[in-house]
Amino acid sequence: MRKLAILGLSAALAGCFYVDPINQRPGLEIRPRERPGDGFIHRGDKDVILDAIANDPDGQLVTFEWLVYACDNGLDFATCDPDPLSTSIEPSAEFDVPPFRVSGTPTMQLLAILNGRDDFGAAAKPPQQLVIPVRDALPDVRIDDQKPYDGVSGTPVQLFADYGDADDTAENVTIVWEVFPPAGGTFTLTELTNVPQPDDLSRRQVGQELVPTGLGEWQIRVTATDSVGESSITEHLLLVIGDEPPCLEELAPVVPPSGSTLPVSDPVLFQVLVVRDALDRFPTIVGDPFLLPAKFAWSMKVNTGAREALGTSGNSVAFDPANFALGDRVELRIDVSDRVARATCPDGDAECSLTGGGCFQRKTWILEVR
Amino acid sequence: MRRAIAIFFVLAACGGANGAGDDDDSDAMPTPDAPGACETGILPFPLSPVAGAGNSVRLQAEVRNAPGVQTFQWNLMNGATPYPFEIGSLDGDVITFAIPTQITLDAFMRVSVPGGLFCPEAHQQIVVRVPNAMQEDFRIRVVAPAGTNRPPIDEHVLVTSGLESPLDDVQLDGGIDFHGTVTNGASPIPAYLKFMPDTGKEAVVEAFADSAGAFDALLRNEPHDVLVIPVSSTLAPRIVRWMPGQTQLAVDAGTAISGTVRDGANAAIAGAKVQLTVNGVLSTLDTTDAAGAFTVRAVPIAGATVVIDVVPPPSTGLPRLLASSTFNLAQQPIAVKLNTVTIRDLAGSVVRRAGVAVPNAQVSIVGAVTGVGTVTTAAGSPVTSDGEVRVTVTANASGVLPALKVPAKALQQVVEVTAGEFSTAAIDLTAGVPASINAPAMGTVATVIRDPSNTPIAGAVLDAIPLGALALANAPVIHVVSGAGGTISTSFAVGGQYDVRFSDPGHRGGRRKVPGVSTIASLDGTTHSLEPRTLVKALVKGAAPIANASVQLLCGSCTGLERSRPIAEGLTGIDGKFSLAVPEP
Repeated sequence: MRKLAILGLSAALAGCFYVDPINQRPGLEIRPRERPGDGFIHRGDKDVILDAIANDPDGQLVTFEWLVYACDNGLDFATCDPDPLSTSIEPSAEFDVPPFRVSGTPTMQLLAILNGRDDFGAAAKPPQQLVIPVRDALPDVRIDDQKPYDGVSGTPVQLFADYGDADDTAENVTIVWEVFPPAGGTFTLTELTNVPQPDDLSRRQVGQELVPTGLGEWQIRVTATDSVGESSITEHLLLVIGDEPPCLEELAPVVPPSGSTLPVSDPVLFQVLVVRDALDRFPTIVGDPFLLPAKFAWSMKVNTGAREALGTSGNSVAFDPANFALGDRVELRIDVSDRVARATCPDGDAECSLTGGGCFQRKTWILEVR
Repeated sequence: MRRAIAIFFVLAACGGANGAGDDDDSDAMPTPDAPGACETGILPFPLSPVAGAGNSVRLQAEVRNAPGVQTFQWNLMNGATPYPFEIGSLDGDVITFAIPTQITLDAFMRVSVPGGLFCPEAHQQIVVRVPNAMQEDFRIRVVAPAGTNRPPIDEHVLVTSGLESPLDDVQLDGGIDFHGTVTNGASPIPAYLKFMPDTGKEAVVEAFADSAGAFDALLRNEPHDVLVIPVSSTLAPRIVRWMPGQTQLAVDAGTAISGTVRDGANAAIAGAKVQLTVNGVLSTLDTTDAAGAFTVRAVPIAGATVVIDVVPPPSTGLPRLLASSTFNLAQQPIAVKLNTVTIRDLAGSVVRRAGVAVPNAQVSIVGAVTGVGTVTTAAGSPVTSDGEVRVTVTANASGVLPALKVPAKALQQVVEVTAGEFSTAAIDLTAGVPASINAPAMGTVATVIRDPSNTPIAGAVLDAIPLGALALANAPVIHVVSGAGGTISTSFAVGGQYDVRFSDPGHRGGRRKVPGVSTIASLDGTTHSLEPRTLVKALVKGAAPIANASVQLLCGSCTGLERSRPIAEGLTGIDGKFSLAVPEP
């Protein structure tokens, strides 16, 4: 009997030595991906990423399972939400941090649990857990500007700060504006009233009217502070430019290209429909303290005669071919200017651009009277 | 038996070493909900409410993609002032309000949805019209900014009286970027092109074919009539038909139309310019030779109205002839005979102001002349034709006129001393030539512009359009902007007649036309109020609202240049909307 037992045990042992090598469990590690700013995770943070680092001694692929919970104390699962805020089977878990738990209390910590198995189903033991402290949410601010006069020096620019706080009410956030002009720049800053509010009722918007004097890049800084003293700083660059010459944008009839003539056999109203400019436009806005209508100067040259001013300042002239002989070649010219004294276009140029870039201050219709 | 049992347990143990894993429960992955975007709107009933005692408007909230029990919050505003309303349903999705008088209101509706789903605030403007509102036909012309690839439109709209007249959205469809060629057989032809779409002939698109006959045009995706005027005088201008997809426009020499121009003594007149139009389409232009002969090329159309335009050389002093009839152009040659008329030469006359010679003044002699001559086709009867005189010369530094030959008729003189400074008077040359031509200074005109409530306004505009002799002499429009207190001070030509309009780029009132003809005496010292206005509003859009589009409101039934003069004009805002004031219908 004893021999039989020894024989059986030996046989058994001899059989184990002859099966496949023992599969080993994978090793796991949770590694949070670096965060911008202060490097911490805050309530309301978007796109927080945790990476799984796996090491399988047998070289097998490891599959993952993530569970992430919002908690008061990540070391006590009873203080975590019953359902995970995020699950994943990817090598990384990506999620947004809820400002509050389902109970309504602020999220103080996150509990991340990572399970892993190799191809043979061997699970990492124990599952990896990481408790991540969660800080108070920083106010988030978006700065925008509106430049009704294209940001020309000396004209107002409306600045808007749209802000919120994931774990605080927008009303508890204070906003401080700072303006950093370029060298020699001066400005006035006045609070805007009746600022339109965002559609998102959890956010608010405030505004300032800046009147910058001085060309170049202006830096606008907004510091937002919530009720627990957490602050964020947001910066915005504003380019202030000089008053550029006005541009003839739309004319009727079309101006013939160089070398072509426009045959005119019936009375025609030649018009400037649109002048594009920051301050001297057409059509303009009557009553605006910064806007003036663009200035028009019409002139005409018939055949080889001298060019003569037409003595009208409106945006249109009527051309009646019956006032000329059939076959006459007429140059009808429009020059547009603004309130700034500038160099004039050479008289011989049919079209003229003082600044380039497709902005013309002069156009000439070459007409053939028919 | 014991051996068997021992082996079984061992095998079981070994089997247990071969990697069979523990069973782990794994939680199922939650499938996130996929919410759609909440959409809100307000439906008014009736769509075009009319003011009246006992009349009311009902607004119905529209909410999509927001499940669950909703709660509604309404605001109804007359400008900045709340307007009273009543809740018209148990769940608050309907409100009603009375509309005893004409008014424009803004309705706002917010909806709260379970689960915190965000729904945007809805807004609807309610325009309450007066009963039996008048309507007037206007045209709207919209030109989109370059680069938007949207051809212009020019179409009729009905404007309804009242404070506001909202129009349907103005749709600018995307155009076809057309690259084509103009050819005569296989030869490329440079030409001027005017494309006129079938659905709106006045929304023209112009282009120029280069020496290779190539051109580009942004056109509406519909058939067009195209006026083609070749540069070459050997090819007849014509109207051709263009269909989408067509890449060539064909022209040819057309039909040669020949004739002569002679004077009353039957002597040939050389150097006369001759041009025909056939149903409004030009022929080529020719100059008579030493034998007074001309040949032009055109596309004759049986029964068409033909205008024959003959301009004699200035050295003859003969008036221009304009003959219009259904000439049969197949009956050639066409004989043009200019009647004998006494010619006066104003050379040596001196332009003076208060007795002092005026240097370098431009003098025009203008006027209509009857019975200028006759036009006779080969087999037709003579057609008596009228004409006109429009001759301009410039005096020298001593104010002395050079040669200026005109018929000895009762005509008009127009003198331009400097740019924009005019005077006009009758000049009767039947008896002889005056030694001097008087050019009095312009007379001051002072007037005041007010808004419809009689408040003087700055920034309004006076446009004085020259009439009569001033128009024939190409005098420009006088364009003046009112200053503080609505005051305008300008100058009119002594003897001049004008069509005066007051308008306001700020849309505080509708354009006012001063009835009749205005002179210095009739306008100086007067006060004028703009017409009660109706604000015409609409959205200009393509696939999205179009900002900075030029919008003009034009006369719907006018002719000639008046058809092109805007009654109101402006630009669309960044939201694609415009608001222009017209005289209330």
